[in-house]
Amino acid sequence: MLNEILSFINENFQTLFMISVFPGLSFVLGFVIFAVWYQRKYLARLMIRMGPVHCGRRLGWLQLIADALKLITKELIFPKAANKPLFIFASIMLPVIPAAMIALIPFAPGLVIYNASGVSLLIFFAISTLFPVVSVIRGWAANNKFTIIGAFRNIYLDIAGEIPVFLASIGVMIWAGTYDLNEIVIQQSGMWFVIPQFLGFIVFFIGFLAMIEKVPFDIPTAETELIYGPNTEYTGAMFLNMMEADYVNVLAWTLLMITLYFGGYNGPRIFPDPIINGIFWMITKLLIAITIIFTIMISYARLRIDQAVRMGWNYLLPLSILNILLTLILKYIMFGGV
Amino acid sequence: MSARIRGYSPFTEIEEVGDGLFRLNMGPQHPISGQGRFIVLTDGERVFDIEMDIGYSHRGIEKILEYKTFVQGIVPVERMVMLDTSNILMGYVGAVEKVLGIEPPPRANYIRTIVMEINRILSHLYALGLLSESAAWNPAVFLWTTADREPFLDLLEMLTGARWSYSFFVPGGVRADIPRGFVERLRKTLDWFEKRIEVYEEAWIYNELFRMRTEGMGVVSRQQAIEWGLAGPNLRASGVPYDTRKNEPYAAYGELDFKIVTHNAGDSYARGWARVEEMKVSVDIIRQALDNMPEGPVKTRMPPRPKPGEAFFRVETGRGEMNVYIVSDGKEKPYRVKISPASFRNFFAIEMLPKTQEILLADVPVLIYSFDPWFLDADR
Amino acid sequence: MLSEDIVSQIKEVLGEAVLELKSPEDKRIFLKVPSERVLEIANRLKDEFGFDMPISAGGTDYPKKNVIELFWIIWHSEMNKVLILKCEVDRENPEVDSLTKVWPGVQKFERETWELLGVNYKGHPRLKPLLLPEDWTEGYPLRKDFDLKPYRSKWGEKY
Repeated sequence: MLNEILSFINENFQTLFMISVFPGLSFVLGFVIFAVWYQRKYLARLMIRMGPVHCGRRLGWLQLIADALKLITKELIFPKAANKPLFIFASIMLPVIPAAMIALIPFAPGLVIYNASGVSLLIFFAISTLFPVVSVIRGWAANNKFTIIGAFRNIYLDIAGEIPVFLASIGVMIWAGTYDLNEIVIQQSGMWFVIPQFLGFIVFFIGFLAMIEKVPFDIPTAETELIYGPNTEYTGAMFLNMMEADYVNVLAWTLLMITLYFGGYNGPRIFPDPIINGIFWMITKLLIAITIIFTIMISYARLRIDQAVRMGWNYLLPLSILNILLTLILKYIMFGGV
Repeated sequence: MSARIRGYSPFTEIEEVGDGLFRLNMGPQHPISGQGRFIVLTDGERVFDIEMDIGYSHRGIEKILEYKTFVQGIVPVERMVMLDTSNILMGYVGAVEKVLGIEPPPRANYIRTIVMEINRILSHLYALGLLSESAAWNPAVFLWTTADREPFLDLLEMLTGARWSYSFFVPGGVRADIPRGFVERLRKTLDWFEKRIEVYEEAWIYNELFRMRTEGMGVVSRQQAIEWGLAGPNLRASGVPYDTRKNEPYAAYGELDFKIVTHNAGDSYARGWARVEEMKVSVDIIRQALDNMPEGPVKTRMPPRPKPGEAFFRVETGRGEMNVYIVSDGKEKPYRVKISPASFRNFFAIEMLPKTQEILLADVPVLIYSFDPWFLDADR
Repeated sequence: MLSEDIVSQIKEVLGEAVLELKSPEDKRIFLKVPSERVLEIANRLKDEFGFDMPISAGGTDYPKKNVIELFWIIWHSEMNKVLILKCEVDRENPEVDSLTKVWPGVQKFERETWELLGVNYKGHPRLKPLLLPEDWTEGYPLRKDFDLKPYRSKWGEKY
């Protein structure tokens, strides 16, 4: 038995390493811890504060681990009228969905967990549509007015944001002529797609902000009126799961944006090894992107749900269709065929 | 939507009202509620009724004052609004001076004016921070305004000896004269603060998303503002040029030249805008008061007992006009003190608004904080 | 318009309904009327004289005279005058017409007076506890015979 397991590990060492260490679970969890810490420190500076300073000396880097330990050891409280199995199911399922999306992102030449022969972008979107479904389950299962309102807002927002995002990335698909994220990245070694697809990128970015549910689109979890939206009733470790789902979602969508528009792992050669070089550029771009997201978070007010939905359907959707037409024309002029 | 929600959860008591409506219980343990509770009747997004449930910090100040002498009453009255103490106190002290029949010396009037205007700036800064915070959970502006209150608090500490509740006004004048170096420091702070106001305008008042949230939302017309008895910047944002400082001058306001900030829109944006403009006016008033400050004593002798009678005094606090009605029966304690605070009147407008126009659930915090509520003020 | 002119006009129009009318200083008019005619007089004050903005309402307890004196304070937005409209009601059975239909802004003040002084405002739309706990049964705190002893601090503050 043991021998069989060991030989299995030996044969599939690379895949197992990718799933469990990089770019799999350890990386994702490490990113969540880092992103929360970074958000707190960075936003604190913008607000003329210090941020966490107590645990882990002046940088406060142990604060997040302390918080996580505290939350894990806390009692789990279930509302009396909650649907308990669904309540627990949603809290476990929610971080899994964006984590599964990350499996499709190439981090370096050949470094991708699941190489979905030529259709990885489609699979990415297919998985991402599960997110609002589970989100509604968590809101409904808690049986609370705030969670229900938050869950329904989540549906409205996701539909309004998702469709422009899909259509904007169709522009990229047409330009690259493929559904495969690996292939899209390789084609960007000369020029990033943000240049020929600029209109598409604008639409994608606004829809992207709606998908990651951060200010100005944190409408489902609007703290001022809905406390924490669909997550209101979660406590302890389940609350931790919800927090994690938020940040893993940010990670997945940010990685997709980098892959589609900013050249993925392409970049000037600093390290001789192409894999390390790719990982380096991927993470550098990721840090720049989340810094921009956090800066946007602090400089704007939250939109109302009707304004956000109107923005999605009235402006982003026509623009994304226009982008497809422009891409077709541009490609026809430049390459003489689609 | 509500038909699908059944059962009981400890946080919200699910209670169906009419056709698909339910009551949403915001507070007193809610991120935005403060020391009060809003009971919102909603169908999920559209709001049909808001009920302001106050009284969580009712201390019976009106009753307490009947058991205190006129000077002892200063301390409980101050506790009504901790960050606007001198304006609140002026209402009480002014009414007591009327009952006692005394006039403070002119220098005391000017010192009072300076302290009150600094307090108004402090109060408006806090209100702006809360309004920005209610439009999104974005504490940046709130923390900036909080940080900018510090220099003024230090100045007040220099003048009165305390940062917050300083009991500086007494019937017949103020407790102390201006210390050395105070005037120069105050002038420097005002120069710096004028630049800060520009920062707020750029970062927040002209912010496109903030305007989207507030413009055209919660409109109070001029007629409604008068009927509902709105107070303060909220009243002026609806186009009623009423400012107690101008209409019934007290302290040194009669001798100073300043304008009344009005706006015709009457929406939440106008109310926020009016507060920023009023801070500019306050800076102007403090400068004038410093320039025209007369010499002389700062306190007159106070008779221990008044003649029987009644006095009605109005004062413009940070949140609007507060009026104090004192009935005296000739003893050293007042027979009855009726304090009508500004927030109490503003809350009525918040209750009336959803009945006259379309308010969405996301608008509720913005709407309430655009009126600059202070629950301790309304509770007394 | 001077306060004296308004005072004489009010005296002329209201006739014998005026029990007491004075203007001790500029911008203040104290008017006392019988409690049965408050609603009618309030309507006339609003329509004929233009006192339009309510700024306060309340009451004072006089156990010696066995009355509760109620007041509504109204501001004239154009002439910038304050009218203090008063009436006396019986202390045992205090009842008066609510003025919310005339000046909607007095609603909360009347509700508060109902709660703290026990005055019944007839026709008030929302008479329910505001400042006190919802299960309060210990009397009306602003009345003079309300006993404060049980609520004093045990450290023995002397009044």
